[in-house]
Amino acid sequence: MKINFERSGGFAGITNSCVINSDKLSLDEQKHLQKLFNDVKNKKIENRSQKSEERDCFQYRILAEDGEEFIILTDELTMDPKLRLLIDFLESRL
Amino acid sequence: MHTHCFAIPPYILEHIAKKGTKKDQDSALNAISISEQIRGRREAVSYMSSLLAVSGKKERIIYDAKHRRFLPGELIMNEGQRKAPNIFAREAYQYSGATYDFYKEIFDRNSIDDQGMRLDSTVRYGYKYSNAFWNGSQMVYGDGDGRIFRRFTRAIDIVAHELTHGVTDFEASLVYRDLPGALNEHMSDVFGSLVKQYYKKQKVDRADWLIGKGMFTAKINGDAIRSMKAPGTAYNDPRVGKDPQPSHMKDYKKISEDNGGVHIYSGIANHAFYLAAMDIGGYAWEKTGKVWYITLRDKLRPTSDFKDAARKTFDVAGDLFGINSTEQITIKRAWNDVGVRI
Repeated sequence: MKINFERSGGFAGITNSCVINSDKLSLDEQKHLQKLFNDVKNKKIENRSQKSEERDCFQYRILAEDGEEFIILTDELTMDPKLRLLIDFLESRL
Repeated sequence: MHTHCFAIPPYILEHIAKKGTKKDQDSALNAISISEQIRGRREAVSYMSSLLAVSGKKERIIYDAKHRRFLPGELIMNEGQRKAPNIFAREAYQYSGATYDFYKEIFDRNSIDDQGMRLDSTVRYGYKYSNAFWNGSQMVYGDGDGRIFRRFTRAIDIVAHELTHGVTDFEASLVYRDLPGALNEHMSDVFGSLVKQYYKKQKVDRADWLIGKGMFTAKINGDAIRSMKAPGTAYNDPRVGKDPQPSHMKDYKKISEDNGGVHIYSGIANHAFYLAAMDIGGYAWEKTGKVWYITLRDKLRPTSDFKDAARKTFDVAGDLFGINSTEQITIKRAWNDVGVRI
């Protein structure tokens, strides 16, 4: 699985991104990432709301290629807790 | 009682809000709030404030998230408390107070909603969290990661920036995307800078016109997060990249990240304000700031963009200082210099 992860916005407005290729992770990390990803994928999480009242929060974009293309756009405060776990993992790679 | 109590006539909801049990009062106020949002938040708040006890004076509350992501966190400081439990609370308390004082003393505005709204802040949000934000009802600050960013309470203009997001929400309610979003960010930077200048009693030529000065650690090559004087020059370091702010509309293009570049293209309007303020001179809050405040309060609408802001500031300057006054001509020239023609 290959994941393109981007974090933008925040007070500073600095955009950071990285590409994570799960083949290059340890076996434990691969399993962990796959579980986090499956938890999110199976929940059919809705993309970000345009009505959010958040100002200066981070905005995230995940593009995963896992057989099929899977895109998530989300705001920081309104995201699903399962998605938070995945984003915490991805943010640690920035 | 749930939100479907829209069917209950407003006069009954109002009665419950005034006379019901605490639980019923909360439900009624919630229902009123939701239904009133259809008509606009400012009117809703004004109406609800008439039902609620509002202090009408400065009132600050500081919470500590203790490095978790839950809001508001544990209450650690109240209005009037003489000793702050830590530096994060002290700065959030002091700078939110300075921002309140600025709006009250300069524009006779009573807090975020002009109805005496309490100023709630949460410090130590998240673990090594490098950000500050407004969540729609309060200000939130992270400690920074200590590697790139320092604590976000340390800069008075950041505190004033966040609080001003609340002011904007209650006034123009600018959509937080693309150019209206960049205008929203611009307003927060303008009043963030003005609060800092007022706090330091600086005239335009003494001000640094930087936003978030000293927020980067010594390991990063950067003076500040943004520069109103010279957008695009605040930082340049391999770990954070180069300050991406342009200072002219010729460099604007539609992008998807950062809500359409709200923190990027705000630099264009920021530079227009800087140019106008420098030419008009004196204390920036007295003339240029007043024009911008009245524009934000009375003239802009949710979808207003830079061109609308230019036109409205030009009109307000004409109202305040006269048609073809030096101030009005200067403001027109400043917008023109950043590529926004009136």
